[in-house]
Amino acid sequence: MINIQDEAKAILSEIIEWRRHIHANPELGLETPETEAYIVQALEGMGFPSTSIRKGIGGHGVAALLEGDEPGPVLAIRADCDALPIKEETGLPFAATNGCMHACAHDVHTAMALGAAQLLMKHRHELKGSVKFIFQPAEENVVGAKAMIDDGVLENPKVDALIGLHSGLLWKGYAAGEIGYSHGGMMASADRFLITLKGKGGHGATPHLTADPIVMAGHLICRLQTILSREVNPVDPGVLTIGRVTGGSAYNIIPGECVLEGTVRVLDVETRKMMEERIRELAESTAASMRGEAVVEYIPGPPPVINDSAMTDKLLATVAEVLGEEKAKEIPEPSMGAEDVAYFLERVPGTFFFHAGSNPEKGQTYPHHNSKFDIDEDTLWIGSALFAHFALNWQK
Amino acid sequence: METMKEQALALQEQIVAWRRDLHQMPETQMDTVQTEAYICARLDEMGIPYRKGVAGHGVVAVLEGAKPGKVFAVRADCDGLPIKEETDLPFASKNGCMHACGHDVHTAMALGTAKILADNKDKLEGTVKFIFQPGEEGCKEGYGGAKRMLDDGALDNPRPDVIVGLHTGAIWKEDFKPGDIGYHYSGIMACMDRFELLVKGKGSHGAYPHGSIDPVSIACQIISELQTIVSREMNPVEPAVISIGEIHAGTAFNVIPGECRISGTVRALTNDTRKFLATRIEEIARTVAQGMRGDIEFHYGWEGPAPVVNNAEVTEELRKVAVAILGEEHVKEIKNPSMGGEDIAFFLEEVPGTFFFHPSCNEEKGQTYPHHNSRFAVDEDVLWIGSAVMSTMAMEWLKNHK
Repeated sequence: MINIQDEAKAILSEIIEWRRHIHANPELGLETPETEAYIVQALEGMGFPSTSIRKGIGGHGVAALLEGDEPGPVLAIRADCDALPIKEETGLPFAATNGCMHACAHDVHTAMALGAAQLLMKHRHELKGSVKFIFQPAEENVVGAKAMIDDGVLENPKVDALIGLHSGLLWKGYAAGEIGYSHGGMMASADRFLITLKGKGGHGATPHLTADPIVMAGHLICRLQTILSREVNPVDPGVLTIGRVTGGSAYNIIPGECVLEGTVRVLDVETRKMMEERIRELAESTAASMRGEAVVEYIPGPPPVINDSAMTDKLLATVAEVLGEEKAKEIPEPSMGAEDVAYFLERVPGTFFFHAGSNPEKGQTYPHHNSKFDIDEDTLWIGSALFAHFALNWQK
Repeated sequence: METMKEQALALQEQIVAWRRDLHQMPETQMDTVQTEAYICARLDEMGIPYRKGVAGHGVVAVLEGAKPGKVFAVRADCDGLPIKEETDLPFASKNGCMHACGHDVHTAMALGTAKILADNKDKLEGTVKFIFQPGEEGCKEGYGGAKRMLDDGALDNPRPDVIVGLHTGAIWKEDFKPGDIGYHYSGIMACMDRFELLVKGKGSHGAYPHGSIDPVSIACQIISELQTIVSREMNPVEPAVISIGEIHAGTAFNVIPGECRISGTVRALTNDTRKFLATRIEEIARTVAQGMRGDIEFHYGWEGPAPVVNNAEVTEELRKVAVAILGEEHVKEIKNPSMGGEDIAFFLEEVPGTFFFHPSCNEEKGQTYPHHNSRFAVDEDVLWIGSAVMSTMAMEWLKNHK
């Protein structure tokens, strides 16, 4: 009988060492060559043959394949590994000094996945099928997952299911080390749109000779409110925010154009389509009614993070065995933030879960992306143990 | 020994017969005279004492078990609607009113529950209170039946420790089939408050707007700005609805009127949201009106009813009971709350409990018409389920809570 809890606790110091090295050497976006090299070195160190490791995926992404003795489906364990352009102020002995910082726990995610790799390497003879470890850069600018998928990370062998986690304090009401889960929509899509309202410029004293794009913008912003207040099902969460409005160059000139820029966040793919459609229609008709014209650019970001219900049930079974049933708590509400693990979950059934890594009792109360953000390292074994236990048991 | 499920199945025909009797005598609002008499006659047959005439024609029955214990309440509404029935059923109503929302079914299933529990009185470890409530569909003025019965002591002597109720029909039909039970751990139905806004300006001739304070323009601005409460001020994961259903102003095309009246409804799943929406509607309306040199008078009708908020623990116990009777695959969580309302909310504000869904519209039998439609119909084959679940729940809950 495998006791994955004890085995994970026994390698806690190694997991912490990996985490601290990555923490001290943060890299940004798609440019993570040193992190890539370090991950490859760690995997080789635990016995992964270099032929089982593919690096340079979508830039500097890494995938390592661990094949079990028996054939079977392929489970991917996904960890992101990029940092943020924030100057660290934690005062930790292993704090980064290069002006960047792992202020969103991706160092922790990577270290936990490495821990799971080490545990599963030891148990590869009990493994049915394979496990593919995916180390993904550029989560923060949400282009890394897509880049790795486009470069074939889900193929050869084809991935059948996927799990991943986010550590930190994204949701409140959890003690350090507890797990948050969701059976469906967990985090929102994050699309960007740009609307250029084109009118006809003129002198501020002669409005009758112009088509005023600033007034069009005023009306359009009001009208856009009704998509959520009147058109979307009230039990279906959605956000439409205009973050930027720019028009004109002088107080007494009616400009020829006014530009609005904003974001759409939803938890449902149909609602997402509908929002795009309605933004276009409202922009075009509002501008037309005021003798102008609208050009709408809708730039899709990551889709919503939607967990597979059956995979989530399997995760709950794992948590019950590794930590005890009471340590798993349903997330109180979905987050309207985004996570590009969504691109994976769009293609492969899986579940993304929350690891409450920050410990308020140890003063770790700073939010994600804060220069003092910190994690309780004593909880790191949990992620590794859950990943490994899941991989060994999910087909049952 | 027969299980309560078996007893409910054995009672199925009787429950259907009661339901058909009730279906043929629909009465509306608080005027449920014949219905009251019918319920009392059945309770007399079962030997269950009751108080009638509660808030008019409500009935409260109290069944004491052989052993002492807590008090479990079952609530069923019993009023019909002013709709001319067009179902062609042999027992269709002919009096111009209709049970088009399943309240006949609720009352029949509650009577079935009472019968089963009365037959098992010797094993009952506590008291079961049955509340037969008129006026769920609302009254011409003021509060509906639940609050009126509450004010007339329906929850006193003895006071229930827990209350359950159900709604049959098609409310969440997408995810359920007849034979299933739907449950929800928290806010399951919304408040349904009415608010009124009187926008006051200054009338004038349509040709001389500069002499007026135009309440029509002000009302339009208010309606536009109210949209931002939901789109910008509410937590996006917290459902909320503000609908303006009426706007009336003016008497002639070329006269700027002095006033404009707006009325609408607020729907929310928590009392906090409800208060927030009421406060913001008033604030926005007043500041917009004053900004345009007018003013408002605001009235918010808290008689609602309030949101229907279920207690998670009671719901979990109900879920287990339903699973034991119907099997895991027939007992499902209601994914999305309904933004419709139900005045059981007033009882649930007083006593923890759960309101659950008894799906009964069977599309294969052509029962595709929505609630409040003149052709609304239900599948009578599943009536035993309501009685089985409620009677077992009462028995088990009283046994497990001493």
